[in-house]
Amino acid sequence: MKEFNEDQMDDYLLGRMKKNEVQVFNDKISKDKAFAQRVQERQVSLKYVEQLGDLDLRDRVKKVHETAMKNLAPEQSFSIIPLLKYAAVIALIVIGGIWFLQKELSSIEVYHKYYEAYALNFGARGSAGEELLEAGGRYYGNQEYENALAQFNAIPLAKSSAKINFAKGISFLETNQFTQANAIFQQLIDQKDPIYEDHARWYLAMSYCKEGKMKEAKILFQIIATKPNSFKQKEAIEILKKI
Amino acid sequence: MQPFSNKKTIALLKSSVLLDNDEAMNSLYAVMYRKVLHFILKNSGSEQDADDVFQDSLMVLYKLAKRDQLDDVTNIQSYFFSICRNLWYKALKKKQKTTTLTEAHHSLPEAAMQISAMLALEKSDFLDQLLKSLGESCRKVLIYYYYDRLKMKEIMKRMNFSSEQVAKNKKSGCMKKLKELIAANPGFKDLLN
Repeated sequence: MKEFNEDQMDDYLLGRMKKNEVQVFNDKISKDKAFAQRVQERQVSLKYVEQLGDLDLRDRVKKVHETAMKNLAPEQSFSIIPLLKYAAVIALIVIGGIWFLQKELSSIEVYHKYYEAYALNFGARGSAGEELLEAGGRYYGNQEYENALAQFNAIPLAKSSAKINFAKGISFLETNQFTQANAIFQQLIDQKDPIYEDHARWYLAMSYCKEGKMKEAKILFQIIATKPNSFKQKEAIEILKKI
Repeated sequence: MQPFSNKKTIALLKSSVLLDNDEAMNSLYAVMYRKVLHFILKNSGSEQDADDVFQDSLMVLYKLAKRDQLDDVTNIQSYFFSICRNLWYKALKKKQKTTTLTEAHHSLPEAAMQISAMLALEKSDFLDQLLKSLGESCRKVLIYYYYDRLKMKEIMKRMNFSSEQVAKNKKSGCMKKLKELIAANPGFKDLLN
């Protein structure tokens, strides 16, 4: 089985690994427990670095805030007569409305307008794999996606399912690990999964949008819009009119 | 201060680590702060809430810029405002939940709040401890590489290392040190989030 060094682990965790490598990396995680453990430890370390970085950035933003508060000019009040003021506001609303209706949405705007994480429930039972599933499901429900991934990734391959893979896809997407998210959604589509195929197509499109790949997303929206009874068909039709 | 164009704001946010200047953030304050303040005051918030939301949103925007996720944004000011609005609605939802709990269970939230305050204090203590134990140069190298996503060449210049390999070795050594510090305090893993 292929070995990965720490730099490659970083590439995986920071979402910089190539798509074909990600698949091999994921396979190794599911088959090699010691390796999965090392990846999880590395992820914890990165999370601490993130917190240290946040501390630094917060200090910096606070300083900017203090300076900005000193420099902000006092607010000016309108001196025009009220009628004129209302007329101007109405005109602005009309112009703004026309502009808004006609304006094309960018991929990131599509993502923010239409994306919401899919709600999934994972029941509690007893065996080792199911405890991981329950914990992963709980983190997923609490929108703690990195923790959810750590649990889901530790579930043995034999106990994995389309539902777990789908939850992993959403978690990768939420944590901006697009290569991994896209690979999972694509796999569910390719396998024509009876439950998650359509859902995977919508979330793959959302992932492309978040990543800024509108061309790829558009192709998927066209499929969703034309496939009878597809998940989010109405939204896909709406998006196609706006992009 | 005049508002910058979309491209300039994004470019400045991306490069602000390299340039060590805060022009983009200052520009957003000048143009957007009042709008955000008015919005939050009109939606059951205070001036303090507006300050917090504005600062949190700047952090979000900065991180998105560093991860190349703003390149497609057509209007940076509207986009920034939507981040502020979403963060405020989230905070408001959290506040409402706490209020509902307070009404339903008088003793519970107090205990929960005490635990939460203790955890926050513990976490802040641990991060302080971590900062001291890691040392300034390790902290900088790790943040530059993993948080600010700088290239080794840039880190080498900023830290006055003699080569990229030296910077790379330093980064690996610091990660090892961080891992050991975390392993020595297993309870602190629970403080993450």
